[in-house]
Amino acid sequence: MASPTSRTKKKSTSESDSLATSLSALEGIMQWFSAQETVDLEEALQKTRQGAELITNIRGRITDIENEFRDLEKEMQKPL
Amino acid sequence: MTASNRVTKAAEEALMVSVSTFLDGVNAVLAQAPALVFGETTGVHHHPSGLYFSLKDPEDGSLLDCYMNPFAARMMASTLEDGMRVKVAGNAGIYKPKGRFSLRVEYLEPLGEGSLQRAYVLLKEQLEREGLFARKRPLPERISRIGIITSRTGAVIDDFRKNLPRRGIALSLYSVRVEGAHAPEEIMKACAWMQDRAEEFDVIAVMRGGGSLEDLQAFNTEGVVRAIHSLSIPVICAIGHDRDVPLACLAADVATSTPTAAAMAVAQSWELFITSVERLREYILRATDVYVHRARALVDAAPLLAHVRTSLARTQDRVTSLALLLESTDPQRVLERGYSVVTRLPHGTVRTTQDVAPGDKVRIRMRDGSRDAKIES
Repeated sequence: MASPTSRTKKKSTSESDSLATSLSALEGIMQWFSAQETVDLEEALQKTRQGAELITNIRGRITDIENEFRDLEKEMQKPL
Repeated sequence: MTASNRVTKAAEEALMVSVSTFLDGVNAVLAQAPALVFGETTGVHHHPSGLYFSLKDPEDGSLLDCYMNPFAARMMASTLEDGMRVKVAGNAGIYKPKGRFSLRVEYLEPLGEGSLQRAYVLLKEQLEREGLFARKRPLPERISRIGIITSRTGAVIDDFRKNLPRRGIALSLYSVRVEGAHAPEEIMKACAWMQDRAEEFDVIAVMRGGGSLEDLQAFNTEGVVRAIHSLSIPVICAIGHDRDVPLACLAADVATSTPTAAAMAVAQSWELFITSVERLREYILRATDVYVHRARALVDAAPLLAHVRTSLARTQDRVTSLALLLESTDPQRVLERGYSVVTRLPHGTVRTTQDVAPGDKVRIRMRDGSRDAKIES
């Protein structure tokens, strides 16, 4: 059985992976836009929606990570 | 009657006294000469009004009637029986109502190993039956005030003091004679003095160096044993002995045979405290180790935290840039501004008039939907 610490670690890693994946996906969309000479309107709209969802998702994850990081900093700043 | 005869008779009358006056005079003279006598007891009679017995001289059978008041008898001679060799101290006198000469005994002590041993055994049995040896109170922790009953002279007090733990223990000495006729009375007085100041002491230490049964007799007298037992403060009794443990030691809460051992008993009362302090010290050291370890971990983690902080900020910036970029490429924004996008059906972007011909079907995309149309010219 994994210790709480290792579970937390695993969760963080998973979130981090998810964040990295989402960022890659978003960058992929941006590259798609850059690569198009003529934009297919429907596809462009769909890509934009996907990009917007990814941005929401990424921002949510960044907020989570920031909160966790803040907690960690507080914990480490407790007087000895 | 001649003149000479008259004078003699007058002188005689002047000298003549009553029986009572004569006996008072005799008693007054005898009172000036305290007596110390030894002999063998006979006709011992314990009575509520006192102890009656005779001392017999084994050489020629001479007899001396003796009397002890009830209190003295209880303190010194409750186990007296016929045939014991004793020494007694007191004052001789004539009991006027009977005209009997007797010794009013104030002090009695068995004499010789046999009598001492017999008195010891009898008194021990009696006091044991009364339960005087059963009570054993624990010594208090961290003994720091000791009332001492012993002789100021001699090595005992020095040995005791030398072996006490160096913990600022306050000592109060009541010096007594620990041997001889006056010893029991002085020890009893010392006990009473200590009892009056019971709140000032944690324990009382009654001590004496080693000696024969006769030397230690004071600590085998009933009065001393009872005085020790009556103390409300725990008592350590340190009296040197070979075979028979002095009865005073049996009545004490803790008995040792040397003052050094008594000092060790006092030192032991600090053991628990010292152990607790040691444990606390170890705990503090361990806790300090934990904190130091944690502090080191914090120091080690500092660069890592800085790195994470920078990465987070960078990611934030990157996301913001991407979001702005996405917003700028969003076709919907163009449509929102009133523009439309025309595509040739089934597919194909229409950028110039050359991209369509009359009769082509097209789809016009507007901000809220699309309509299909046909090129006419």
